[in-house]
Amino acid sequence: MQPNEQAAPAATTDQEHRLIIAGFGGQGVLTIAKLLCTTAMSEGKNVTYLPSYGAEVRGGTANCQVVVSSGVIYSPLVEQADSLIILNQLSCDRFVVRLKPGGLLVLNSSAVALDDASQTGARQVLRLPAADTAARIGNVKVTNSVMLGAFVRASGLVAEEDCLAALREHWSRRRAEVIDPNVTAFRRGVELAAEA
Amino acid sequence: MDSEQPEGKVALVSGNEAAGEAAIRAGCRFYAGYPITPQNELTAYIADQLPLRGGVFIQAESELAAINMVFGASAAGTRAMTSSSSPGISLKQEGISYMVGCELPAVIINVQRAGPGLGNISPAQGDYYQATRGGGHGDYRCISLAPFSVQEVCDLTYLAFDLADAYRTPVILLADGMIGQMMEPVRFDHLPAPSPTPRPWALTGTPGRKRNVIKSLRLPPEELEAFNLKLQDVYATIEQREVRLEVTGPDDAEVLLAAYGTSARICRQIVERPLRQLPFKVALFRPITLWPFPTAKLAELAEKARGILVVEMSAGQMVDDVRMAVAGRCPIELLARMGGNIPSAAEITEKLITLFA
Amino acid sequence: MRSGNAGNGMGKKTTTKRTESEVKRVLYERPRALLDVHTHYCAGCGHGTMHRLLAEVLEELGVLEQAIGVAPVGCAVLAYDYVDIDWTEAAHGRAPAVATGLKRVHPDKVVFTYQGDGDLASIGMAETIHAANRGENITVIFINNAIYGMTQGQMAPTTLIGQKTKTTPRGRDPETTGYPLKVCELLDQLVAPVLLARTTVVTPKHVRQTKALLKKAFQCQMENVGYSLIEVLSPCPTYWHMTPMEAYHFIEQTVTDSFPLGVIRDVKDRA
Repeated sequence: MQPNEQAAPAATTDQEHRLIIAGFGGQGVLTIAKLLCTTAMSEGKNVTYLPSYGAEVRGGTANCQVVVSSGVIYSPLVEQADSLIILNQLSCDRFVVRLKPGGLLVLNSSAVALDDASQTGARQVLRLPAADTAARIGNVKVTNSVMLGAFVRASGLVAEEDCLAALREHWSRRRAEVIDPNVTAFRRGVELAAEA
Repeated sequence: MDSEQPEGKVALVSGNEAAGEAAIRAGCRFYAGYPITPQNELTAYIADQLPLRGGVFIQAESELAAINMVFGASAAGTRAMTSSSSPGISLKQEGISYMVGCELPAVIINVQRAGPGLGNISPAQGDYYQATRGGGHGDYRCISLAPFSVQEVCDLTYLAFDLADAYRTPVILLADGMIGQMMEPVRFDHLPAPSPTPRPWALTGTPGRKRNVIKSLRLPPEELEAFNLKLQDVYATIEQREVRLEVTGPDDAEVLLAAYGTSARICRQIVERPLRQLPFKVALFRPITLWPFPTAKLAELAEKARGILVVEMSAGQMVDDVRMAVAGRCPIELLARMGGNIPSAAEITEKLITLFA
Repeated sequence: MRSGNAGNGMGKKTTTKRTESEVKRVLYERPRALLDVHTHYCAGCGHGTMHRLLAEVLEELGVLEQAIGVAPVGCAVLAYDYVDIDWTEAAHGRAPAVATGLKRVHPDKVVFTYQGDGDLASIGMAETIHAANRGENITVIFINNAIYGMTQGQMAPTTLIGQKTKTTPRGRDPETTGYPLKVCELLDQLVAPVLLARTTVVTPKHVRQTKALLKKAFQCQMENVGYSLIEVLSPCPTYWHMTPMEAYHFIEQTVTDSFPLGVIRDVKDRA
């Protein structure tokens, strides 16, 4: 861990950030991706969101390739990721090799073991007991919001308040029982990343 | 996408959904389709929205039924559409040929996947010949539009309805799995209210007029030839008026990349934000109408070029049109990826260096 | 009434001078919508009778100006040349899909398909079953002559066991070609259809019954009751290699054994 680098944006010089979010279907992978995209859009940035589809999601895995840029986005494919947000072991095994040296790796340590993270060449490996944290909040479904909060803090890709606004907007048609735990989880994720 | 997005807002929308929304905004009031990946979000969007906005959605029993329901709806005088992906589009070819024979407008969206056969569901461009050469039996062409972004899916879907009306012809929107699945920020509020052309030929019952008969059977050879000549006249007009393209990069480029859709998107990076400095200037020639192909413009560019690299997600189909347009003015090379693979900026760069450095 | 020869010219050749009222006493005339042209049908073919019934029924129901027909691929492809209403022509077998599109766009029009056995029960079976299963509010006129006429006499799905055709030169063998396909009975397994009936046109009595059924089928549609199909056993003297009268007797004596006449379903009456 290199706390002194936490606030530095992981974006490359042309202000482009390429990331992969991956986990089991139902873990909220696509929601993380969508919230990051809508937040970045609200900040005037360009985005692409490319989900896995069809046979690729059989077996219950889901992933989404996201690019956030201040300029034109050419390929929406993320071959080399600036960041990975990984929610399950299968996805860790599959995608960790696609992390750029110096990239950011955010792991749901409640479900993912990565013994030797040094091989990844990551600038920072953030291990978050996201599912356990979500369970303590009272709803394991908000695991993704914990991950999102932590990623936003660690990457600085978008402003926390903007992302929180997007999160509230996303769940705006649902009852408080749905919105509130997600907000709590997001904030807890931010705190966990700040403490790391 | 969120259908309740207020006007004026940029929405995060997939290509498939953008096509659905743009079609409804273009006045499409009939859609029939059959499930196939990677275009299912389009069908789902239409199924959700079209009935709420005064239209008819039918999940047909097959692609054959779907295109023929569209035939019926178009004959009835309404703006109609179907969508599918490559294997399903093959099944629709019969209906498309009949619609040409009956001069019926319609929009057909092909979110291409890789073939032949069942192939896979990854993005590909292997249906270029089918889209630009007619596809079904007989002498005909369909206007083929190739979007390379989600916004362009929206804009070209809207345009497709106007073109279909203007020339009384099926129009193909040729996208691929990546364009269909990908979400990007999209605006819809610039699209004007639709203005379908009058359809005095439509089947609406006969009060106050002579009957209409919409048919493609023309038994006397001279009658059928006359009809074919009429079609060819229409095609000549389309070739004159409807060519659309984009050239990106310096006017004095020595090397041209030629690509459409997803592969053009990758190529554009090499022009605007190269991975490494190239020892020559590169521009991108991107046809937006695959038919009519921008032949004249490409011929003009080829006069000044040292060479052209065609980049396709097929074994090389558009390259034939490039060869015909260039007619020996400069060498033409091909980078072909198949099976659902998308060429990377790195491999295109490497190929350019090998060929032209 | 249109100008030209009315009907079959009954009573026209008289030279006796008649009063005006006597002249105007028309016994038989061409229906308004039946165009005054020669048809391409062979002598003894059932299509001519059915075209006339179609024109009569649409006129009597007062819906000539609301009617939209879908012609098939087969002998009846040129139906639009004979009946003066809006028509389109579907690809082989696809008429129910085309009719679905038409009817959904124009729920207030009277939309029907006119199809033969190859078109409806072979290449178009999927469209047939699914339009029926959706309960599309259309009328299907199914001309079953147990043969492909237009392509010169091949086996149809409704060809009788033992019947010789171009593609069953030694007679239809169920071991290799299956059995005559009973469309009405098949569709009777579905929930949605409201009227399924089999009739024929080989005697005046049958013609009257057919007309009544056809009228009922269109009334089902006009009252938004739902899908109806009228199957008409129709003679094909040419490819049955019979005289017209032999063909007519063949239907009565033989074809009806495989395809019994009657109303298979009438939900309207049951209700």
